[in-house]
Amino acid sequence: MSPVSGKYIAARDNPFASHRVEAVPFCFAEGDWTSNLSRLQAMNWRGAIVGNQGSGKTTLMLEMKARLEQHFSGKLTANYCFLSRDSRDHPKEIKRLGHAASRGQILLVDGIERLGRLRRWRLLQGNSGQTRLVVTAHGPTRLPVWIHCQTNWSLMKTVLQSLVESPDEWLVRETSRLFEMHRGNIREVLRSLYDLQNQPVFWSG
Amino acid sequence: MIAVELDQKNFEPGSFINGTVRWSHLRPAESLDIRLIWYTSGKGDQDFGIHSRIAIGEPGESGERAFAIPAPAWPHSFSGILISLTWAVEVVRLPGLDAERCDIVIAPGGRELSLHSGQNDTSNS
Repeated sequence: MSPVSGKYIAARDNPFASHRVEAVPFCFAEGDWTSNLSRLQAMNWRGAIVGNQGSGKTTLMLEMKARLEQHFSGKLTANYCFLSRDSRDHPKEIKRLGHAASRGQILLVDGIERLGRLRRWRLLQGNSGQTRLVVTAHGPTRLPVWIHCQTNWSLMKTVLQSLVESPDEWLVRETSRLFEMHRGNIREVLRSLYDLQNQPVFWSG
Repeated sequence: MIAVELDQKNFEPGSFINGTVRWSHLRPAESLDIRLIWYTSGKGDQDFGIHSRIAIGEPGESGERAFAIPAPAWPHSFSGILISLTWAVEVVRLPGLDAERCDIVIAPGGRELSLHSGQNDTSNS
């Protein structure tokens, strides 16, 4: 893929379209799904996924839901909840999580820091602190860290190669520049790469 | 196994989408749903909607069924830099979400609208 002028790419064919980006699997720094789920099980299904923005926390959590159901053949199910920035939605979301917890499901709470302190405390202490709960956060929570998501250039290149089969030198250089500019936020790098389609030069190949 | 076959893939709004669904190796409790759907793709979150559906309640282990679904007047298939809207005929095996999908174009002249200035059809891109 190299820059040439005058060729537009339809949104659906953009290699960095969201449906393609979301299909890129999570890459563990250590171990694989089996070993990391076993470790989480040993933690009584209570742990935090910690990392900066754009480091893969949500990707990991969404993939985890499907993997759990596959790993345990439907005997163990998970309930995913993305906490919106609008706190008016939180009571409804907390109620839904409460129902799921009472059915023994694992709660996957994306963005626990968006909850107010009291609601967060109640969620963490629910069922005498025995609720199966995995959260994402940017920093420490009261839960032990299960996975620390960190990005590096090697991971960025792996993601790039998942989306573009043979990225040429120009694309790798642009990606490297954007990776530096966005301080390792892979999500923002991919959004910027999408936007490069809007520039006066476009990719072909 | 599910297969969907359409007489053509480019439609005028208001015309009929004619096709045939063939299936085999279905379990007794399973049913089929033929759906006309639309979905978006591009930079933002994907959106999805079911426009119309035909339920096949007791399909049996194998068989085939012809169908005709009116193509809606709008929205038309289109594609720009930030978003594409695609129509599709989808056959879903229930329960579950196994599906066979066939993308189509519904727009005047059967040609996808291009939002790129100075560009025409992108349906073959």
